[in-house]
Amino acid sequence: MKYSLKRLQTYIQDPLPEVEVLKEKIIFSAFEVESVERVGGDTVFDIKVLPDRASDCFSHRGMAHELARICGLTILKKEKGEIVCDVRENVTLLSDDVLAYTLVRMKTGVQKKTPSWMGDYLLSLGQRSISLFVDIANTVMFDLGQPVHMFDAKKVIGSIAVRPSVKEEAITLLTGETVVLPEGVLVIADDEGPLAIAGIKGGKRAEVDEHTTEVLIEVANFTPSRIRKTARMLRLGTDASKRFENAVPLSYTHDAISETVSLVQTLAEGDVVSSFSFSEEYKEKQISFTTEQLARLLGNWMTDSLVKEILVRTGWEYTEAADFYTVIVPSDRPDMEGNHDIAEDIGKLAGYEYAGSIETLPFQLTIAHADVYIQSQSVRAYFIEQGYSEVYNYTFTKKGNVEIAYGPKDRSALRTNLLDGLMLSYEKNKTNAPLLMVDTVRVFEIGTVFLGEEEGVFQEEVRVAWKSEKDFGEMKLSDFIQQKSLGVAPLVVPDISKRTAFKDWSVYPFIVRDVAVWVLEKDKEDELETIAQDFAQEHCVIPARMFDRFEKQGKVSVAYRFVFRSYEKTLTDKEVDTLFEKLQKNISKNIAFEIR
Amino acid sequence: MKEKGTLHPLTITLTKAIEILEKKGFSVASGPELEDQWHNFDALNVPKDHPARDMQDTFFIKGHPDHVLRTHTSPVQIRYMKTHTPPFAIAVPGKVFRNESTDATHEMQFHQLEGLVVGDGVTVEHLKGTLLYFFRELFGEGTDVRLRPSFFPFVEPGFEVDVKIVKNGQEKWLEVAGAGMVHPNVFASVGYPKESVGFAFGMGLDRLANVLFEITDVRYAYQGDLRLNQWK
Repeated sequence: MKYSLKRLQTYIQDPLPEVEVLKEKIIFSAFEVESVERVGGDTVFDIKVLPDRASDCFSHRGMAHELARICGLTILKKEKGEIVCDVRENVTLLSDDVLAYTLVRMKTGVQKKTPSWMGDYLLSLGQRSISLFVDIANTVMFDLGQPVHMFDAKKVIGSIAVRPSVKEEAITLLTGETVVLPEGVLVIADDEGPLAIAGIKGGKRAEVDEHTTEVLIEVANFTPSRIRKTARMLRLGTDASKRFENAVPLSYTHDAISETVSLVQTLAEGDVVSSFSFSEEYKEKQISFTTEQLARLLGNWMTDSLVKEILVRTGWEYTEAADFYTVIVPSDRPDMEGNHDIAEDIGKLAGYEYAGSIETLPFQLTIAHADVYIQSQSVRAYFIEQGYSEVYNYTFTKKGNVEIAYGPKDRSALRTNLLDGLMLSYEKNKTNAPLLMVDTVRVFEIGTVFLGEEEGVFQEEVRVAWKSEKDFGEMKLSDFIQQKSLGVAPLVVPDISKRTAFKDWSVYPFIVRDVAVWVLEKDKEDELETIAQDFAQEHCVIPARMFDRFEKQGKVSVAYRFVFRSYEKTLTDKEVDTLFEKLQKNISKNIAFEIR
Repeated sequence: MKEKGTLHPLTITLTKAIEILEKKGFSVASGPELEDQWHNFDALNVPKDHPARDMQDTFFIKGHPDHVLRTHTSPVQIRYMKTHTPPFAIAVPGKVFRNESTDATHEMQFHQLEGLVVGDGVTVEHLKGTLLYFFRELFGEGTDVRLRPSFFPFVEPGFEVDVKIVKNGQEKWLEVAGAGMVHPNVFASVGYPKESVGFAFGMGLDRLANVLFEITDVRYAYQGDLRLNQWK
């Protein structure tokens, strides 16, 4: 989510640290920073806020409070506005999923043009300026994390009701498309029908614009799962629905309405005429904990003095008694439920670089590996010894007994066997044999196959499959172990401390050239090897491979294979021939060698 | 005499990883690739109709809305805890599935390696120490780890784990794993007492192998192509 540095600063008394320093602080104490960009005269941070902090930090105010906490800065105290209004607006609430609903009617005069600070703010967040009232609603949402909606009161017929839709009620949305609703979708409606899909998107019928002279300002709160279900079903995700599905704190309603009313007063000569307000009661939560409980999770570096120091920095209301602390959970922290959450907040403010590092576990353990692991390693050891090389193939296939929903078009089934994939692998590797520097290809795979389902129980099986020129087969892993009477054999793997870096392969086809040479003088084979490898080093993608050697009548014949391939293009026979001639000349000029 | 065959780099990486963890008492645990939603999500404190469920792109089974291809190997941890009592340390390797578009760093199937240690006395300091030991054994002297605060529904506190790798005198920090202290709701799902304490970590085995061997494209791992087996 994007945050304007300029706007964040307006919530904090002391100046925020310099951009690079701030970025580091955020990354190590709070959130991942996806990017930092200069936009106009502002700096925009794209910060990844995860579901646990979406309630308070999907807003500039919430994020600013978090930044102040991690940077040790003071929050700017803002005056809380009060709306005084005796006249009651008529609103009917017909659903338990309405957790709060405030509607304020304001008569407005001349609409000023959206002020430049507001236009710049919205622009920095990637939003267009649309019209004054829409911009005000968006500004408050980005500021406080509480969605706000405005209706043109003159376009509303009768009074507002928040109710489930009946079958096939239609609404033309602000963006122009008409949606026919199934029954049970929560809507904001007037006497004529739906005006908005609650918590998600507004309709065109009561749209505000530059001609609006009377607004209905709606600040509401809904059951998160209801909004999420509806948004998914209608495929309508908006900035508003995103916030509601992550639970907007009930306590945000008041400030959002105040800020909106204040902006409408200032920028459109607005006057409050009537209002309606309902809210479910917010039940304050408290969490009690001891330092010992925190240390039990975090470790002994979490001392009582550290806890005391950090508690002050959290800005939470808390009391100390005997040996425990009681924290009043802030109303915008629905994620805080127990000691573990306290530990999370205190730990990250304290800084995990101060946590120790204990490399031994505090108890005795005996190893007891799962059978399938032991068996897999034994079978691997067996096949490696037999000259087979290991491959892994895809689980998804064209045909199978179990299918995935919404899968890729030609690969939506789960494989029922390994051999189908292994055969293709065998053929591919056979073509590449020269590159692999082998005469014959032998492959094997250990993997899971999916046989089908019976009465809701799915059957999957771990199998081994193998294929060589002369042989192929597939068997359940445990059956293979039994059949071959394989014992427990550790799998010896290459020493990774001596590993070489992966060498990528070219997408262009390769060309092979062989040369067979009579070695006429004893002890000259090494020299031929050097000539061959020097050449391969310079012109080939892999080392030269001696693939044949025999002795006849005292003479030794040696044959080498060279593989040519370019990373940039397809080589031609002519190009390769030219290169190869060089090698042949090099060999034949030595009297010890005779090219066959 | 036949020339020996070659192992897939994922096998080499996993075998080495298990060798390292065995020395600290870890046993390998295993479980099904096709899971039910309870084991894959609910038991791990990822409730239905909650944005946390969107953190992983899931493959659902046609005709069986209660089943999925597992998105992580964590369901095996639930199965293990339901049939064992602490203290224990398990390493959980296996194939997992995510419904994402594929490119050089993303595949629809890949392998994970997770760890779970439950028992009295285990803290974040043991998590840090275990990770430091593991990565140092894998990448060599000079390796370091750091914990960055993050969020996963099944742990609290939760972390991203960065590892510092030294190569040719150059230092680089890479994000390699997620980790945290097991969430009380997860212990409740498996019927463990409230005071239970443990840590868990999880990493992409493919990513680990690709960093270790400098493999440039994650898709090579599943194309059945022996040109990938460059290490004897």
